[in-house]
Amino acid sequence: MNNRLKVLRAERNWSQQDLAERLGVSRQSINAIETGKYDPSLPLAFRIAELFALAIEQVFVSPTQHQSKAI
Amino acid sequence: MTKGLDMNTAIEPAGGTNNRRKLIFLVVGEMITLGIASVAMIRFNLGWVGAVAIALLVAAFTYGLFRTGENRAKETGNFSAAMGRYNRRMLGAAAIYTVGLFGAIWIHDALHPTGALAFVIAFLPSIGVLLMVYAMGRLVAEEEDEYQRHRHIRASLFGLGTLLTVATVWGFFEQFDLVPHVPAWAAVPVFAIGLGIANCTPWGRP
Repeated sequence: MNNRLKVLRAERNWSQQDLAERLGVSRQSINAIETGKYDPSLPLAFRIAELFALAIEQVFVSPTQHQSKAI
Repeated sequence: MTKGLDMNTAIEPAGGTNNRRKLIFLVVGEMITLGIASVAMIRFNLGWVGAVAIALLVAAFTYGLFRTGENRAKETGNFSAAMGRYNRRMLGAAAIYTVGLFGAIWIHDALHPTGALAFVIAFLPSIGVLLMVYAMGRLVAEEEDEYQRHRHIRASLFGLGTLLTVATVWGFFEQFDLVPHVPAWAAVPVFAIGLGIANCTPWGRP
C-alpha cells in the first residue's frame, strides 16, 4: 500500500529510528511500511496517522483510489 | 535539513556492520570447526572425549552467535524483549538437549534399561527439543512488534513447507529403497533449516 510516510518523516527531520521509537515499533517495521512491503494493521495505521496529526487517508493511499487514478 | 541522515533506507551503524561481519565469521567458523572435529572424531576414534569436546565447541559458537545476533539487532533498532527471551530459552533448551542426549546414551549403554524405564531414558533427549519448539511458539505469542511477528510466522510457514516437502520426497525415495532410512527426530532440524533459509533470504521477508 502506497503511503506518504517518508515525506512526512522528512518534513520533521526524523530518521526511521526516530519514528520507530515514537511508535514503539522496530526500525525494520518502518522501513517495510515505507517501502510498501508490509501493510500495517489498522490500529498501527491509526497510531501513525495520529502521530502526524492527520487523517488515516492523508497518510495511506487507498489501493482502489490508486488503481482508479492509474486508469 | 536531514541532519545527514539517510531518509530513504535503514541506517547501518558502524557497530551493526562489525557485528554482521562477526556473525558471518562465527557461522563460517562453526561450520569449518565442526567439519574438522567430525573428521577427527571418525579418523582418530576420539570417543567420549571427542564428543564432549565437540559439544563444548558447538555450545561456545552457539552462545557467540546468539550474543552477536542480539547486539546487532540492538544496534540496528530491531531488538525486542520477546526476541531476548527467545534467545535465552533457546540457549537453555540447547543445554538441556545436550545433557539429555549424552545422559540418555550413557545410561542406555551402561545400564541397558528395559520396559517403562527404557521409554523414560529414550525420552530424555526430546525434552530439550520440545523446549525449543515451546520457545518458538512463545516468540510468536509474545512478540509485540506486528511486523516482526509477521516475519516469524512467515518464516515458520516456510520451515513447515520445507519439512513437508523434504519428508514427502524422502519418504517415497525411502519407500523405493533409493535412500537410507532417516529417523523421525530429523523433523525439527529440517524445520530449523527451513526457518534459517527463510530468515537469511528474501523468501522469509514480506
